[in-house]
Amino acid sequence: MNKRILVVEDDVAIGHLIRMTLSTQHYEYDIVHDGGSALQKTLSMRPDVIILDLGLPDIDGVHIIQKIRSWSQTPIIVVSARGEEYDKINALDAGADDYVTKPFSVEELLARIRVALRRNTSEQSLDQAQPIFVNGDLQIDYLANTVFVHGKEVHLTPIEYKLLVVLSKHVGKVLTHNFLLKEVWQTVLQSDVPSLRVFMATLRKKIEEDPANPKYIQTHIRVGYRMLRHGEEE
Amino acid sequence: MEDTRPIPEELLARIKQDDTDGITGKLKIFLGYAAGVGKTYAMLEAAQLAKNLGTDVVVGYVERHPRPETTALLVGLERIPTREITYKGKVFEELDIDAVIKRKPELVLIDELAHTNVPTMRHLKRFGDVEELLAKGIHVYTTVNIQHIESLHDLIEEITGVKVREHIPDYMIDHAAQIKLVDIEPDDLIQRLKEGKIYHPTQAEKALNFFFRKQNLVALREIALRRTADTIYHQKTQQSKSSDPCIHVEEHILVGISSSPTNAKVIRTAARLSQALHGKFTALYVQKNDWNDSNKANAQRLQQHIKLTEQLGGHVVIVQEDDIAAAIANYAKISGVTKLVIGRTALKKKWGVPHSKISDRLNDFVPNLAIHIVPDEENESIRFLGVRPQIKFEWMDLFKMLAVFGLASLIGLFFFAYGLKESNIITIYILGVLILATWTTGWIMSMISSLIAVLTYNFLFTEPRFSFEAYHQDYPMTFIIMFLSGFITSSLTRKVKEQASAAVRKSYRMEVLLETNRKLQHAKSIEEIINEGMAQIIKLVEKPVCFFEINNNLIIKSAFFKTDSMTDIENKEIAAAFESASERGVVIWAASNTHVAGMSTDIFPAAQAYYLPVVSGGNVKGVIGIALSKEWPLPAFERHILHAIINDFSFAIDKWYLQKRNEEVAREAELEQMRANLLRAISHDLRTPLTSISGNADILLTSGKLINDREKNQLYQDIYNNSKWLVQMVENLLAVSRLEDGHFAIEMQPELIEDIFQEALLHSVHLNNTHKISYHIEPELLFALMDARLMIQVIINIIDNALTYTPAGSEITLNAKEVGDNVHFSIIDNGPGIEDSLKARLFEPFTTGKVQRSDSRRGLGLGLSLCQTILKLHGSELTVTDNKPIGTIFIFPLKKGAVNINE
Repeated sequence: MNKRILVVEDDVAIGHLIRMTLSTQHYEYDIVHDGGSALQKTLSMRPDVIILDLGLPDIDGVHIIQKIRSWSQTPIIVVSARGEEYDKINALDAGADDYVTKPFSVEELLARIRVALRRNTSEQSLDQAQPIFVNGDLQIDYLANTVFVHGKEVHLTPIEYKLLVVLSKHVGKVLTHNFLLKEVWQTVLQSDVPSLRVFMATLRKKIEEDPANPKYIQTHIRVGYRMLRHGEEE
Repeated sequence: MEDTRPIPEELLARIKQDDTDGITGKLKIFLGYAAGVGKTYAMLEAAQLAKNLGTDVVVGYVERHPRPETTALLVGLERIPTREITYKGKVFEELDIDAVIKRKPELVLIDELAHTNVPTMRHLKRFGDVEELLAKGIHVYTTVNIQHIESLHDLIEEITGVKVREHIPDYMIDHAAQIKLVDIEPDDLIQRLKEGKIYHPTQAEKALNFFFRKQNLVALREIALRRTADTIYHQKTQQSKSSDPCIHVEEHILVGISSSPTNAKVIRTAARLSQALHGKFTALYVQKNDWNDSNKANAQRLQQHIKLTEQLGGHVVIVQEDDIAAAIANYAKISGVTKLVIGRTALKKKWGVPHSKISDRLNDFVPNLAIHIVPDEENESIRFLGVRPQIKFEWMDLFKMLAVFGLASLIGLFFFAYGLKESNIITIYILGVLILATWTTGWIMSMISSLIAVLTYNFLFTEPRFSFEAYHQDYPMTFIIMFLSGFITSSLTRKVKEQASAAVRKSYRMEVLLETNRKLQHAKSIEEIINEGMAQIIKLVEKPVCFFEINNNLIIKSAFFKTDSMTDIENKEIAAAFESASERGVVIWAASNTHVAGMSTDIFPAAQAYYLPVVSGGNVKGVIGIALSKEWPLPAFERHILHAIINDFSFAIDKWYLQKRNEEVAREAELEQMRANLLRAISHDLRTPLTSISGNADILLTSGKLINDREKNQLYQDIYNNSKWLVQMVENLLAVSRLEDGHFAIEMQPELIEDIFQEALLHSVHLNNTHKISYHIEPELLFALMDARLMIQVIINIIDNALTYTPAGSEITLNAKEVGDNVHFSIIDNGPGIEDSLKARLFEPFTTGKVQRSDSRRGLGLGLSLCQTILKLHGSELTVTDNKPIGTIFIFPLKKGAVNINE
């Protein structure tokens, strides 16, 4: 069965572009132009992924995310204009999974949709509270607190391990600095962001084969980090 | 007499005036010559009139009166409830100044200006309250009797024989907007008294025989009338001064200040003289070099006299000189003094002191100077109260004496054994006395050592030896001469020594002042200015100091500076005291009223420290708190140096703020220029790709069927390429728009350089796969302070530049290397390099690789100039050099980011 995608976009030209893009990939889609119908459509259509423009005429985008998140875990990809980092961070903190920045390329959008869909399926398997997390060559044993890359154990400091666990539990989702700080340090101090960067860098050195082209942990400057999902097919 | 007030107060007062001009309240004084003339009645009448004219009048404080006529006038006036203060078991009714400020009427009535407040109140005297209300823009009506005026009070004391304890400074009268003299015939006043309208009949009887004698009243009335007339003259000259600044010949009255108890009277006389002549009034204090601060009573009295002079509107000058007459004469010559006022006691010939007739010597020095000699002897009985020199006897001195004379005796015995003359032995002993004089302190020691020298010599060497008898008739004379020469030489030595130490002390203080100036000039940041300034003050006063940074009359932060002359525990105690709410209240008062407050002033005298506001550009930027001790307020000389230091300090702060503003303005201007250039460049550069996109789309829409697929593809490709290029342009435009907000938009944060490089490459590489791009960071986990988004834009632009101007297959390397406190970035390519002629203009907008600008080559002519602007905002600079053997290197440094890792 084809995946259903809900597009919430008030700009006609961009809506047209997204429609064209989605139809070439044989996704099932629907486009709405305001927040009110977006909420209705989410209920009736039960989409697999929602693409949400943050600048809607009626309801604030962050508010829509909060509404949807109150009853659904459907992945949400936020579309925002560049230079609106705070909106982006607020949207992610409110529960959005990912974002694309205008102007975006068609391939970029499709890649994000694929990631979100994959996350949706892996989420279902995660619900069964598996004791072992597998992502490509990376393997985390939550019970034994051990991490393996290529079957070889990697020694992590407690903070690095905590970071990795938080990222793996939300694989595919962009986690904001604030979210990570709260999860790992239990405090949200902007002054701690640099130390978060240091730990992320050292963690990456230990689990990435080529840190210059990271495979597992993606940096989103000024926003946060994301662990990418690598399926067996790749 | 604004221009004759002392320096710091004068400055503050000026600033206060400038600041609040137009909104300061006006003072109207109802002046009477005795109780019962009807001052309060007149004031209330005026208040009723004002109220009928629609003025918002309240009664702040009015004495309870037995006269029903007066009480009746209070009807219909709003009364601010008085504050009841219990002090030492008694209940006092006082003006509630805070309630008045809160109510903020147009006009407030406050009776009895000369009243002394209960010590727990904010101001020592009621006139302090009145001044504060005036400064807050509230008009005040008040009453006062003539005998309370500072400069007149001992004159009145002489006439009436009644000692008046409560005084108000003369400037209150002189600066009042209106003086209303409430006058009544002395006969009528006596009649009123007899009718019991002023006091109770029993008291009235006593008053009639004492204060209210007719001749007294006539004299008081005359003084009051004359003083009022003087005030009118004063106001007239003040007005003309502001409108017509012509210089007219002015009387200049000089008075000598000393710590003598009789001096206060001399100062008052001089003040009266200056008022009568409408002249300038200066008080000179001649500090002798051997002056030491060991006598507290004297020092305290000197302080009082200085304060008195300032209250009387005089300017205090301190000079250091041993010869008082010479000092006075010099000052008089330089400053154009016309009249000198001097107390008679100061002219008395003292025993043994040569040239004590100061008046004669002054006549020699400055024959043109008029000298007024004031009788001041009636108080002389208390002259030596507490002035007695302390006889200090120290065991250490005794030990020194023993050692010196022991040695002298040994040498003497040695001489004696070898048959040298007795005179040699005597010389040895006098030498011993001399050495002792340099070693020990106090003239008592000189006396004792001379005596002992004589006795030892007598005991050891005169016949019969080893007894205190002396047979030879010459000896008594020898002993006397020996004693006198020993005593005199040792006294002289001692004096030289004291002068030397005084000179050292004085030069140290002066050194502190000069050093302050130098250090403040070198200070680069505001913190440095504060630290240096406070350190200098501590050097001077040797007391802990606290600096409160003030903004909008609120304390933003405070910094405590300890002194090494106290223990850590004492320092901590004082630091804690500075934190207390009551002290902070005083700080805020000092800041909001731009007035000194706290210890040794009349405002909050119970506070733990002396608070001075620091004014810069008309605003209070801070308050300096100095933890003086109650027993030992600041000596006069130190106080002058302190005020000089604080002046320097305010100027330094002023300068810093000004410099900061100028820098901001310069940067704004630079940004403005940059934006204008960029916008011009962009509007030019946008046209070409837009023409291409719209033109190609037009062809595809209108005649798409006529074009074959290969050509169509080419058109699509052009649209795509041109729009990609536009995206890059928009990124730069966004960066420019971020610069628009000035430096506030720049968020400097320590960023991991690897993240920045990766992000920049992410945006560059997918545009072009024809080049080999790599990066190298040393050490790997390197942070630099930057605005991440803008810096990524810088790197993208430089890489784009390299991609555009180097042939396919070239290598591009990004390097970051830690060098000291900086990170050096370099972006290297091995392309053809940049011509030297172009390098100089490379960072100007509109410069592209080709000298002749063409539309076909789409190098962003503004990319590098934008990079340069961004880097300048980071305090850095972009430079370009040649790569060896071929290619170009772009280099810029950034500050290294320090990261505290929180585990």
